[in-house]
Order: sequence, then C-alpha cells, then structure tokens
Amino acid sequence: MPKIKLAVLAFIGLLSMTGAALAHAHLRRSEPVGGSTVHGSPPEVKLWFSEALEPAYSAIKVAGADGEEVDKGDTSADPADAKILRISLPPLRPGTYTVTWQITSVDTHKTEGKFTFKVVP
Amino acid sequence: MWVQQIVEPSFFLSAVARACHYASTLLLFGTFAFAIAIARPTANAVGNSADECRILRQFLLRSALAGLIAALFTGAVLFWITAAGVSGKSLANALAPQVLGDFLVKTNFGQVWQLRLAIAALLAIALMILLHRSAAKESPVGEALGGGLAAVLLASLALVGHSNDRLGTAGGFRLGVDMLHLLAAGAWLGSLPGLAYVLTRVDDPKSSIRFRIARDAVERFSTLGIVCVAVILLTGIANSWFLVGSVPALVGTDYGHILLVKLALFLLLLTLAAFNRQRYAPQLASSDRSGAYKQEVIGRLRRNTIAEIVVGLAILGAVGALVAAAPAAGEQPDWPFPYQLDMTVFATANLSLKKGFGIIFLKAGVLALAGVLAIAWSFYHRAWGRFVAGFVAIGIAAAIPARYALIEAYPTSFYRSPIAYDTASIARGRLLYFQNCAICHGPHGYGDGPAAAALPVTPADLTSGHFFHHGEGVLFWWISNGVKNTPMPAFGDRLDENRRWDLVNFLRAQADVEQANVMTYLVQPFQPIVAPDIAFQLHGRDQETLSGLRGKTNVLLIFYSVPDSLTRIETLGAARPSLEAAGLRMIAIPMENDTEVLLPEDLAAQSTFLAEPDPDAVATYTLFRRVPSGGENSSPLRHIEFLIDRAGYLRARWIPGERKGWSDLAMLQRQIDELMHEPLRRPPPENHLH
Repeated sequence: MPKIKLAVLAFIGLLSMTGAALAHAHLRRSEPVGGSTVHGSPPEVKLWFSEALEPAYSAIKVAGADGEEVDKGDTSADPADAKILRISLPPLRPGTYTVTWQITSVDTHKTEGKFTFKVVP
Repeated sequence: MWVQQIVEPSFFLSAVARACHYASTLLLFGTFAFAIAIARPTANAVGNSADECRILRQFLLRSALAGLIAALFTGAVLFWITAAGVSGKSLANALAPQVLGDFLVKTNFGQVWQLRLAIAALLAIALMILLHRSAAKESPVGEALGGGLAAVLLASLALVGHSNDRLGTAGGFRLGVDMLHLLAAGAWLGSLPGLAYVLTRVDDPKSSIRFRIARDAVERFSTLGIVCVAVILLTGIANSWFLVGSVPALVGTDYGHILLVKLALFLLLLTLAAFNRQRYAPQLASSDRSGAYKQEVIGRLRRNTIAEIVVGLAILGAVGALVAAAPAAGEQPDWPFPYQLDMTVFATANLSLKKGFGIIFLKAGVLALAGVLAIAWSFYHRAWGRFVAGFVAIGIAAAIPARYALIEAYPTSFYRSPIAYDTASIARGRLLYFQNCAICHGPHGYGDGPAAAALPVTPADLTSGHFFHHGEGVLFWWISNGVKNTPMPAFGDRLDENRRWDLVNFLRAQADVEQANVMTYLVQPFQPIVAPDIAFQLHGRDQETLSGLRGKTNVLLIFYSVPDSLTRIETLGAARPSLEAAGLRMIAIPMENDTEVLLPEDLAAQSTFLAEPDPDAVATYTLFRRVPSGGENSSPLRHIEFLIDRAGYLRARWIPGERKGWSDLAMLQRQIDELMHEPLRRPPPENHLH
C-alpha cells in the first residue's frame, strides 16, 4: 500500500527533525569587548544578553588561534542576573582568541555568535 | 520572507503544536466561562430543573473534559518538540528519558510545565466529581473551582512566551498584560462552541425552552463579547508595543507580517461578531417578529458562530507562528514603501512656510472634527452611511498635511547599525573615508574634495545639521547603492556590510565634530554629542568601557604625551582624590604607543588613572579638537582633555595653551560642580541593534 509507505516515511522524516531554532536573545555587550586588545590575561569572559537565559542549555567556548579550546569549561549564569553568562580563563598567552557562544533564552529560542579579542603582554 | 519561514518544517511543527495547545486550553477555560457567565444565569431564568438545562450542563462538562484531554496531549507534544529543539536532538532521540527529564527540571519551560501538569491533575479530579454529580443538580462552587484552575492553566502560558524575561516590575507588567490577553481570548473564543451548541438545539421557536435558552445565551454572550473584545484590544496593543515597538517593525519584519495577518483575521472576527450583536440579537429579542422568522435568525446566528470558530482557529494558527517566531523588536525592518512620513518637516520649516502649514492644519483639523462628529452621530442614529463617511473624512484630513511630510524612503531606511558607536569602528570608518570618500566630500566632509569641482553636482556637505537628520539606515542605503541622479557611486560591492556601517559611524562622528566646534573649557548648555565608546584598560587592571560608566560618574578623558604632559599628569595625580570625591573619574590615554617607556617610573607606579595605549581612541578623539574654518590645524596636538557628563555626552574640552582653562584646577572643579547640579540625563539610546 503506497499510502501506508508514505505515512511511514513521513513519520520517520518527522522524527529526524530538530525543533525550531530562531534568533532571539542578542548579545548586548561583552568583557573583553569584541575586537579589542587586552593587556595581560583576562580572568574570565563575561557576556550580557538581552533576555534571561537557560544556563543548562547555554555555553561559551574560548579558543586560541589554533582552534584549541582554552577556557576552563565552567560556563555559568550570574546568580544575581540570569541575563549574564560567564566562563573562567586560565592565564592566556599573547595571541588572538575567539569566543563562541551558543545560548538558549527562557522563551526556548536559540542564538549563537562569535567574536575575537587579542591578548598582548 | 515569512511565508518561507512558516513552511520550514521544524518551525511549522512548532507553530502548529503551539496553536493546537492554545486552542485546547482556550476551549477548556472558555467552556467554564460559558458555564459560569452564560449557562447558569440562563438556567436560573428558565428554571434550573428543566431537562434542557441539565443536558446543557452535561455538554459543557464533557466539552471541558475534551478540552483538558486535548490540552494534556498537545501540551505533551509541545513539551517534546521544545525539548528536542533546545537540546539540539532529533525528535526521536529527544524521547530519551534523560533528555526529557533534564529539560523538565533544568529549564523555565520545564518548571512551568510541572506546575501546569499539577493543575491539570487537580482539574481532572474536579471535572470527574462534577461529571458524577451534574446530572442531579448544578454546582456553582465546583464550576468556580474548575474555572479558576482552567484560568491558571491558560494564563500560565504567558510564562513561556516572549513576555517572560524576568525584568522586575516592568517584566511583571508585561506578563500581566499577556495573561489578561489570554484570558479574554479564552472567555470569548472558548465559549463559542457552547453558544453554537445552544443554537443547534433550537427546533421549535414558538414556545420551546430551547429557544428561550438560546435567546438568553445570545444576549448574555453579546455582553461577555464586548468586555472581552475591549480587553483583547487594549492588551493586544500593549503587547504589540512591547514586542514590535514601531511601524517599520510591523510592516518590515516576519513577526510584524504575521501579526498583520492576525489583525486582519481579528477584524474579520469582529465583523462577524458585530453582525450577531447589532442585527441578529435584537431581531431575536423583539416581540413583533414571527416564530418562523426567528427560526431563520437562529440559523444565521449558528452559521455565523461556526464561522467565528473557524476564524478563531485561524487566529490561533497565527498565534502559534508568532510565539514560535522571534519578536520584531530585535530585527532589522525592511521598509516596503517608496515613501515615509517625516513630521520634522513642519518643525524645521521657515516662517513663511510655517504660516502655510498653519492653514493646512486648520483645514485638516476642521475636516477631522466633521468626521468625528459624523461618526458620533452615526452611532446615535444607527446611520452607517455617515459612519463610513466620517472615517473617509478623517482619512482625507490626515492625508492633507501628510502629503507635505512624505519623503523618499528605502528598504534600509529604518535599519539600525549593528556595529556599536565606538572608537574602534569610527577609526576603521575614518580610514575607509579617506580611501573612498574624501576625494569628493573633502577631508572634513564639507563637500570640497579635490575632485568636487569637476562634478556636475556638488557633493553633499556631510556635516550640515540637515544631513545627519536622515537616519543612519538612509545613509547606509546611499553608501551601499549610490544616490540617484548624482555622481555618488554605490559601494555595496566594494565594501562589506559591516565596513559600510563603520563608515556610517564615522560620518556621525564627523558631523558631531562640527557641532563640537563651539565647545570650550566651560560647560555649555546641553548638546547631544555622544562620547564615542572606548574599551580602555588601566595599567594592571581589567578592561572597562566608557559606556559602562554611564549613569555613574563624570569622566575626565585625557590624551597625553611625554614629556609635554608630565607636569599636568603629576598635578592631576595629586588632585585625584579630591576630584574623585567631587564626582569625577579620570582616564588618561597616551597619544604615542611607547609613552609608557618614557614615563618616569615613580609617576607610572603611583598614577591609577593611566590607561594602556589605544591608537583608535586617539585617532577618534583628536578629531574633536577645534577645526579652524578654512584651514588645517598646523600645530601638532600634544595634549587634550574632555569632560564627559554622567549620561555619556561630551560637554567641555580643553587644550593647554587655550587660555588658562583647566590648568587652574579650581576652574575644572567648577565645571564638575555645574555638571553635578544638572539633573541626571537619560543615557544616549543604545545606537546599535542587538
């Protein structure tokens, strides 16, 4: 029966889809500022968003010029303000670093983006 | 285009799931609203014990049960789809208990769902008890309890919508508005099935109790509808303001377009409801109509009510898409029309023009007044021809002055820069300006570049007040696509989008430089010259931003060089505690990159206001030195200081050698006092789009 086949195929197709992912929370500002030069290694990367976040489904990654992740992997939300996300950094050597963020806001929309900053002695 | 977005499968699925869940929750609450506000008073009027009343109660309870079951099922599906979306898993993989459990416990959505599940369970128990008893008699307490639980179940949907951003009082207000909107929509749309049922049961219009119930219900529904429509309109307008915020966003974004579709459907719904209320309900109530005629009216009412249900479902489809989409307030709006209104035409007109505008406004005002009177009269006398004529008159009245305020517009007219107004962007823009623009527009933007003389049209003076009156979106369009009928070329294919925005930021700074020309070391009446943002870093400290100090303190921004500035830095360093106590933060940025090496060690160590070198900041702020008319500054700049007020605006400037100025610290102190005496201004609007 072609109809049943079609229905089964449609069902399989349905199951392999992921949910809606549309931009919503926007990055308002960051520390360090995107594109800026920092003298000495910054202790952490801190991001301010336009909406409250779901920390369990939000992450920051900081990578060196070689693409190697350098952060301490401890992304967490600010306990006082659910719009702020941070991650700790070990002492960084001079060079250019890329911050990639991928966040989910409380209205379940996902957003992502990236920027770089430069560390000089 | 939003049509493409809607047919995108994952979005479509999410929107449909939301629409179905809204529909079933609305039905659940609306059934209770109908039972309490319409069925019970009607039953009291016709005699409670009548069989027909019992049958109606039974129907409503079953309808509520169906709503609850549907709400539970669609709620579970919506939870599943959302969990898949957020965890980034496929729908099949998201069925894993770990994924669903994490989502249930760790997110706001999950926690709201826990609460709603608990309420649904209570509601199920309440419904079971009511169903068991209802055959015998009515139960006002049970209905009120069930209605309350259904209301919480519906209103709590606002907790997972766009209005929930935990913003304190303002956030609470938005949430309240959203909840009211949901409840009013539920009371209206959700009670339509009950009304349709009552209308369907009418057979003999003459003496039947069914007819009396239907007539009574139509009348009461009419009142309920008016209240609900009023609440829906008010809360809907407020909601649109929060989430869309402007006309360009309404006509130029996906979210705005879906909202327009929803509004059109809502108008259709209102028209149907208005027919019911204004024409059919009075006919049903009047005593000089025959039974057969009334039977026909009942038929029309029934058809209309079913049509209302269909349109209502379509509206919920649009709602599902709206909730699944990103609100317009954060998007770049594409302006769809070739013209826009610019009301400032009237404010900036010269005197003789103003007189002309006065007469135009007088004419328009008289016409508008006539229109309002016609509409008021039409309501009083139920004369719908005059009603329409009144609106036409108001429309023409609005068009008379609007005609003069129409200016050419472009798709990007209402774009906002995605790039912050900071010195890094301005410095990049400045470089691009000298590479691409200065040849015609001149080194200061006066339109007097070396190539200008040979051009058939004089290049625009980029510093004139009028020029920057065009929004940055318009400038962005001109830079990208050129200006029609002028030699201004298009740079869209030569510079990428962000670089063009850098140029816009530089042009803004350049226009501000012109405005700042009159600035001295004395604080003058306010001019909105925003201090371009700097990411600065004091020696050995973390990076900070100038914009981060807004609302906190006045700033003395010092650009210095060695050895010229040594004495000044020393003096300021010694006076720092007293200046800080007066409400000033000092930030000193060296004008040369190797200044640090040249600075005496003891000075470098004791000064806690010396920042790391920042060539972009130097390049940008030295633009703000006085520009002598008709010439270049010949003397090299070695030291300049700016006073920035607490809101982040440039207020005063001093260059050593320009009179005594701030070399007298008491004079600087007086300027700070002056700023501290001003009421704290609102900081400049965050210029860039987030």
